[in-house]
Amino acid sequence: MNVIPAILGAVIFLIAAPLLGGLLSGIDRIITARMQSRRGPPLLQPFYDIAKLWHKEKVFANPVEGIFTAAYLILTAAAGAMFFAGLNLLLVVFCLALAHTFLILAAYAANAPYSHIGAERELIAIMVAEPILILLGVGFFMVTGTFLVSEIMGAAVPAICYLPGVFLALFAVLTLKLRKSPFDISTSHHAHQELVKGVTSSFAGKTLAKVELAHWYETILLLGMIFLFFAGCPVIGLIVVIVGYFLEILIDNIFPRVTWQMTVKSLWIATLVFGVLNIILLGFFGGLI
Amino acid sequence: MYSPELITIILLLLVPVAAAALLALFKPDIIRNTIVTLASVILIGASVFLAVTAWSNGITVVHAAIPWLFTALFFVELAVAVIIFCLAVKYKKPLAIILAVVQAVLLLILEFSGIAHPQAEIVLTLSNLSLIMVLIIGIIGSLICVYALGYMKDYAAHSHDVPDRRRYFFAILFLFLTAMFGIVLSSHLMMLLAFWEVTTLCSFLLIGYSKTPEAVTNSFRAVWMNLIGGIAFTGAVIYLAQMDPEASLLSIPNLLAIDNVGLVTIPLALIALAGITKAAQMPFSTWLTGAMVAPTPVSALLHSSTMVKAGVFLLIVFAPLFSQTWVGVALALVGAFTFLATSALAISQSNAKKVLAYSTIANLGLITACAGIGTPSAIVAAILLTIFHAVAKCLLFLCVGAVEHKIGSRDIEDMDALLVRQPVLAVMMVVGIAGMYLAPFGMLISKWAAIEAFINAPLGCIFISILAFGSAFTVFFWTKWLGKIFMRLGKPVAEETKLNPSEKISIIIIGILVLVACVGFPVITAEIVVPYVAVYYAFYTGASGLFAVDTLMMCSLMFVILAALVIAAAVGSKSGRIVKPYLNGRAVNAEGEFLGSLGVYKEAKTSNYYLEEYTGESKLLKPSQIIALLIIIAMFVLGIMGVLL
Repeated sequence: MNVIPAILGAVIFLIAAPLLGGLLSGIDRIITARMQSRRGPPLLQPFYDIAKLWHKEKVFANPVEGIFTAAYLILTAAAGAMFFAGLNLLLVVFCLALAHTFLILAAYAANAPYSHIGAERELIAIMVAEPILILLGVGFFMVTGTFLVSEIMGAAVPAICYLPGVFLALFAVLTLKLRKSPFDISTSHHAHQELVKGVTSSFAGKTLAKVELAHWYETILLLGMIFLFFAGCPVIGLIVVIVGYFLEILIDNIFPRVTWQMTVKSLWIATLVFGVLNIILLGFFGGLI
Repeated sequence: MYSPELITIILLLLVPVAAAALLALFKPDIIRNTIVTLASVILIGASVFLAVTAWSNGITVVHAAIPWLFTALFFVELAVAVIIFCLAVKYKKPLAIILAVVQAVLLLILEFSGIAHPQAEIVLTLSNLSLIMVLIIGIIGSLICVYALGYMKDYAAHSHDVPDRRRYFFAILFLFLTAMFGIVLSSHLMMLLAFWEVTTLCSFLLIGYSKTPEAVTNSFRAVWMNLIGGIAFTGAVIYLAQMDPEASLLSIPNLLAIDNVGLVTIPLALIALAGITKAAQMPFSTWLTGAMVAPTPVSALLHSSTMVKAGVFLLIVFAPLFSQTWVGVALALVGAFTFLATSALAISQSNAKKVLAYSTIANLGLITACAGIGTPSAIVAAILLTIFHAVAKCLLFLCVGAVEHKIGSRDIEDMDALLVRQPVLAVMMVVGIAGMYLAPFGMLISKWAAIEAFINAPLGCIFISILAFGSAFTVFFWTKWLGKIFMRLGKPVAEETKLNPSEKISIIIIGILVLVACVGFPVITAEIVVPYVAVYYAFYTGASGLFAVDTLMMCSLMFVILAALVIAAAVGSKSGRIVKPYLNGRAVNAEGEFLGSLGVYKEAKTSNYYLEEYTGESKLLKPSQIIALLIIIAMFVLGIMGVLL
């Protein structure tokens, strides 16, 4: 393992991800507003929001909220840093799951009914996403013989050639992971979702700012995973990431009333049909390709 | 002249028996406490001493001249069958009667069909796997016995309708330990079989301890299922015994070194069935979920260090043979399927002991899957899972038992705010739960080892897909339990938080063991587990992925972050204003209750999701059992055909 590029990757991620993530969130809100014939907030609104939240009074329903959301932020950032340092993909996935566990615990601890339901539904979101994230790691291993992101990046043939099904399933699950759909789970900024902010409904001030910041880190990490499929062709990779993100916004606006039950079923069917089938075919015919 | 190892082994086998005899005789609490504490200290010391001397001197076998041993063991086995038979007659359980008779007849055939007894000299194995098991049984088993002192005192005080039979209870608890030591140290199948039957009997008696109708029913369910395993085991022994006049294949090292595995696929399938029943795999899972009617120390013992671990121990021992046959693949499929089904079933349960039971079965399923695959990295994963599961699950059972006596419920819905109501128990419970499924703790590390092992296995992609969905269920049911512990922290501290000293000591020591095992996993793997596997696979030098610098670094980083957070939580600034929970704009009073539609203030209550309509027992149990049964039938067909990989 090369130490210097690894440290560099991690540091760049830790600094640049919140900036990029915030910008992306700003663009997202403008595009969404235009799709709904609204004007939308200024591009830098997400940063203004965070700055404002940071200076609010410290108020909470349960003192452990602060430490739990800090854990969510730090572990999400750590997962992303490890990913961009080129370390073990599977452990990155596990670290991300650990981070989310803390977010859920924070929502539980708030002890309000809306927050509790939000926590339960966030938990369902984790459960839905878990299989494809594991299959993602395994799929990359089957193609490149390693879990190390740095070595996957150096693969001769982009992994998308072998893992189109896994890619599609991951893309489907991204609607959930990017907090787009379903409307009764997510915590994004859309007007039609404000009543059901679920998991964050009890957070305020710094606590909420930390969750928001962690979400930016996570967005960049997930887009990094999409990019990993196109290792070796950075231009195509970038285009796919941008188009992909736009499509997620579009999907979100086309299906504003998808419920969590529908989400669980449809995403697991997608995982089974695309992801599992892809892995099994790769397992049986791996030698032939 | 006896070697120190042999003396220690004799201590391990005889101290529990002696303790059992004394415990059965004396009634006063003070004598019982002294005997149990003394015996536990001796057992812990002896097991640690045995492991350390064997490892430092590289001793793998111990010889002993006990010519009468096999005759004695035959009578023990016969006694087991007779006791079960008598009790089955007393309670009118025809199935158990029939199976006990079949078992006795098979034993008589085995004894009097002229099969050569092993020579006067017997061989005890001290392989690394056996030593790990000795440590698990010696340390965890003994600590459970210590815990039981306080627990059973409360139990006797709480349940007036159950006669206080603590003498009997503790005697059987210690007999159980002897039987377990016997199983893991035997290197001869007939010897192993005798101890195997004793564990069946002990678990049967312990499950039925309270003699309530439910306990009787469940204990007989346990016994008939385990008798099927015992009969299969005896069948395997008879089959192997008649293969050559010397009956040399009954020696486990000889059997493992066999050249033509195709000859022994039928006994292998029978042994696999024995392991499946004892490890409570589908379709035999109901005996373990039913076993929770017994007092909690029994559950802790059955789930963590004894009984079910005997099942997976047997499967891991024969893993190198399973790896060469399709019987092994079918066995692995039973395990993987059980993991998936029982993880889903655990979601629908709110009874803490039942959640733990399903989670045990699920993890045993994962171990079974690894053993069935039997490649070097799969065996490493199986052994790691066994170790981490033993400590973490034991801790959880002990916590649930103590919590039940304190708050009067074992329902997870009643465990909100446990962190302020029972701080010590809640912290230990959090450690246990985190140890069961979160990175960077032991079980997750092992699960990841299992993923690595599955990738290169036959049908590996199917196993991985099952694992991926199964772990998603696991995350769901553990996290919602964890969340409950942190809810409603505004509640007052419970009136009675003081724990019985025996319970407190055991819980805290095992809690520390969970953390030590997690931190020490690279050492455990490199120094103990990998050398064991290398005995059977000469080319194997280590689980590559587990030791890469980067993975160790990542795990340490997560540990450091978690440790820093715990410290920050303890010493960090407590400034800030605590407000009432936010009810999305509903009118609330000073207590945080909301204004209902009839003008009355009510407490807002929500409960966890159990997804009964998808994962309830009524939906999943029957179909899963049928599928598992079909796989087992396929395993026997593959065994009879003798197809190899």
